[in-house]
Amino acid sequence: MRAVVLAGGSGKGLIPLTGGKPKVLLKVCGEAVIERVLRNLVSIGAKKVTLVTDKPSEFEDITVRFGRLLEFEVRKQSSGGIIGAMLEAKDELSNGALLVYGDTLVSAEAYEMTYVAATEYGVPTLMVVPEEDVRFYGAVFVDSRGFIKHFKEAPRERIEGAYAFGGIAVLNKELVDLIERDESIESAINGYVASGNAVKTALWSDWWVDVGYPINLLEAIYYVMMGWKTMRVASSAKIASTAVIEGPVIIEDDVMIDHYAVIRGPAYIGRGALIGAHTFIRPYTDVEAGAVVSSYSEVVWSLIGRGATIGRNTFLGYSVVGDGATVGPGALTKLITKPEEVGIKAIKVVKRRKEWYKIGCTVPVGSKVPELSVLEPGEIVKD
Amino acid sequence: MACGIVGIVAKEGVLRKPLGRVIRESLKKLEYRGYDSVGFAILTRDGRLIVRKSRGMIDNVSAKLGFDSFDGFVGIGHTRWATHGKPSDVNAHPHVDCGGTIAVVHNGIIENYEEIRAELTRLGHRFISGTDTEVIPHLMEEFKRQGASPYEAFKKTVSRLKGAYALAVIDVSTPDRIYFARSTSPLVVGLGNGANFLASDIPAFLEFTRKVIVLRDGEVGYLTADNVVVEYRPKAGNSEALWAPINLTGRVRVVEWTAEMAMKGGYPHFMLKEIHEQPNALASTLAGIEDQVTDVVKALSKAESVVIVGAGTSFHASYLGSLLMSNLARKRSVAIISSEARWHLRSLGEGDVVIAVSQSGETIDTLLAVREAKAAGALTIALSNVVDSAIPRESHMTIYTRAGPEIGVAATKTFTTQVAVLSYLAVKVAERVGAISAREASEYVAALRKVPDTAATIIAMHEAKARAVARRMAERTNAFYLGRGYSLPIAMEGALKLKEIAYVHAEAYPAGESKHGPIALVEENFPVLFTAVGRDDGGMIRSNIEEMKARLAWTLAVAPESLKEVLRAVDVAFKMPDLPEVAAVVAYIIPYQLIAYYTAVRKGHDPDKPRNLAKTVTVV
Repeated sequence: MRAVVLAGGSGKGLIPLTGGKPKVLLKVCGEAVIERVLRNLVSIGAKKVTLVTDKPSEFEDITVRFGRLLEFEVRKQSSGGIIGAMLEAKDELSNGALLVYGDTLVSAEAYEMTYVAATEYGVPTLMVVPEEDVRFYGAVFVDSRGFIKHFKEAPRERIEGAYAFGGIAVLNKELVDLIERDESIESAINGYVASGNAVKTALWSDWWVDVGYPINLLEAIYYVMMGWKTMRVASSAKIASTAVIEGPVIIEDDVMIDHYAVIRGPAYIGRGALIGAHTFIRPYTDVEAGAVVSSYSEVVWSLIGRGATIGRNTFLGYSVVGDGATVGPGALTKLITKPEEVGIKAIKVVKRRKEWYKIGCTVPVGSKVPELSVLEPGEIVKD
Repeated sequence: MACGIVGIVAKEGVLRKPLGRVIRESLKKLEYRGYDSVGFAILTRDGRLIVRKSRGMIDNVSAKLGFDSFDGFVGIGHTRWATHGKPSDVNAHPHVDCGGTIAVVHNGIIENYEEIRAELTRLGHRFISGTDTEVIPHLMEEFKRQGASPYEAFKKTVSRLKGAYALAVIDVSTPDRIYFARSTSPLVVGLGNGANFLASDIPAFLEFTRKVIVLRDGEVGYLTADNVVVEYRPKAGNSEALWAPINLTGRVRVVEWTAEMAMKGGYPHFMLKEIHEQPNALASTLAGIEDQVTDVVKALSKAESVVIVGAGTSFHASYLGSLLMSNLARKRSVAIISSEARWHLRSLGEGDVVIAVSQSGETIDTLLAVREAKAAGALTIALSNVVDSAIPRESHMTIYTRAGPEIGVAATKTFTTQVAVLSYLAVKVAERVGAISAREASEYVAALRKVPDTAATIIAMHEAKARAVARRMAERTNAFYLGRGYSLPIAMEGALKLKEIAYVHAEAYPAGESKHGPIALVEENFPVLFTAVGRDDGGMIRSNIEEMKARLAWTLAVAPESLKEVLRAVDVAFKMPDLPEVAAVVAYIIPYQLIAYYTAVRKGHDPDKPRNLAKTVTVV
């Protein structure tokens, strides 16, 4: 099979973390979002992948690595947006290649299910997910036989009875031509269906993350780590005799873990990272390569970017720290929000039989948070 | 509904086993599409056309038909799921023409077959079966008699047909090929090395090739051992338009997945597929139900008492049936769990009726109950999804749910279709005995006829919410499902679903009884799921909800829109359409099926293969 991966866009909601680079290069547990997507494609037997991006030079490293596993082609997109990216791979999509949005994380089975359904039915097929709030996704209305009745792009209001488009599809020539003519997926699909053609849906029921905001990275960490069953410690890691490591924890090469540190899995400690004395790393924490978490700190369900530094005696929770950022000693994130608080998306946590909504802050790439700062829930820290 | 067809053309020695055996194995892989009757036709090397067919499942009749003993270059096969009309040896496919030289297998419905048959009868053709399919070989024979070549005759035949069909045809005069046509019903071509294949679905030939072409509506052609020809005529029905050959380059796909994945048709699990199939399954159950139940309704109306027996999910359907019989039809009625039935049935005698409910028709406990009931002198009626299975065979009368094969171990569409039949029966009996007026009865029947659409709406409106609820249920180890009256069996079925696939201990209880014990278990955030079908008499459900909320339980309700008080009182409300009770009992289970399914997925369990459970229980 052949696939087209759309890897353009820096992602408005993620600009503080990408610094203008493609958002699919953001790393979760040591692996970029795009690498997970490509690995899925390899695992379901993709023979050729066409990757469309506005910044081909950023993908050189990935081209080299995946070029060994499959026929790999990177195309530069000449016009913007998803439509522009799709039309760049018009030939492949017209021929029934599997279309994958590069910022969508889901297990390989979902790719396979969609591709199989498209082949079985011989018609274009979209993967859909039952989401309560379909705003900002494509809203798909489905009939009782699983075919699309109607498609609505990024509705502004809440809609009942629609499924969210999951960013995976198989198209055909007619549909791609309509997309080119109308410059709209919504109008193309509706027009195609209205003239008596069928578009099938494949319904995905397990986890699915559309990486658009920092909170989605935290969700992605959760789902990736949920699949971990065992601990793995690189032989070159130096772990102090009094440190405690429990549960499924992955510790990469040259990591240093100081005395009395506690790491409770699932957690990821990237290559060369340092965990200071008496520091407590709690579940769903992802410390990327070269990051430092200084002594007497506590980190829970957070992503600490490559080469970032967390000063001593800091409490960081449900937060995302960009690459190379510094969080001053003694900083404190406030977490608990009320769900009714508008404008903030938070993570629902069930603890001690109660539900809590928690979210920390976002620290932009390379920025510095002064010592003893108190960071509000949902705050994007300004340098 | 679904049938499966296969066609194989192979050069000598390519298949490495007799053609008959390959056809049998391919049909076996399509058995999920139906298994009422089976048949094949093979052109042997010495030019004879062998046609063998029988009702029954492939494994049971393969020795009788002698599949494995026939070899040849060209063969077709069929596995049938009877929806209308009995499965019988005569009605089984393939069908042949008068001369016995053309054999046809067909999946779908020919709408204008009566007209064609009348015409051909006038021309002297003799028909043996009652099927629509039989007109196809005769029509082709007729065109050949008028001078057309076999392929021309086939194309002319296809031009005359209206309806849905996937066809595979062999003709003794062209022993190297299979003709095929597709309109609506699925058909795929498999491209092998020295052998080509045709089937309703890809799994049939995955053993031999992974290169496939999915045929499109309106395409007609033939395949030989090393070639495939496909033609298309732009405007079907316009006999002036010309057939144009189709270029197949670019249409060939290489399949890299398993047969199981292909059968799921765009769903990650069979259970989710079957939940989504309920609107169509219900429509199929209700189509033509009148003719099926006429005698049963007469018998039930005369009965002194009606006992309904079933096991597992079928017991919950039975329980709903008995409540409807008692309340709507004013017929003394009780539901009994099959394995317990022997303790109750000895008191029965002539004048009593036992309805035995079993999806598979093979459930041993239910079968034993039927024997017990017959021995006691009661009339027995089977309600099953599998034609000619053991319980229908041993019962005096039978009704089929026609829900299509169910592969997921947890029953979903078979439950709703069983309830739809029992509900329909209760309405008809109530009308006949004068418990409700003819007008009420026709209103109820109209509501039942709308249930397929209602079910589709409920699935679309509540699936996302059920998935969100499942995140919470996945964290829990216990749950209560409460309801009164008609809601209780629904609560029981909901709890069973959660137990059997999500492994969350769930207990269903009559809502009014909950304060006589179970409420002691309720503490902060304990999930309590309420069902209210129709009305809330005297606000009793409402006060049960308050009892639970006072103990800080987390509450959910499945209730009709009009019960605003109930819906407002709970933490999560599944707002159902307002329906008469006879229809609500069919559709209100759907949110619970979805909650159980998504909870299992969230916890990482395979809902299709729950531990320790088998689909059909044939041991005591």
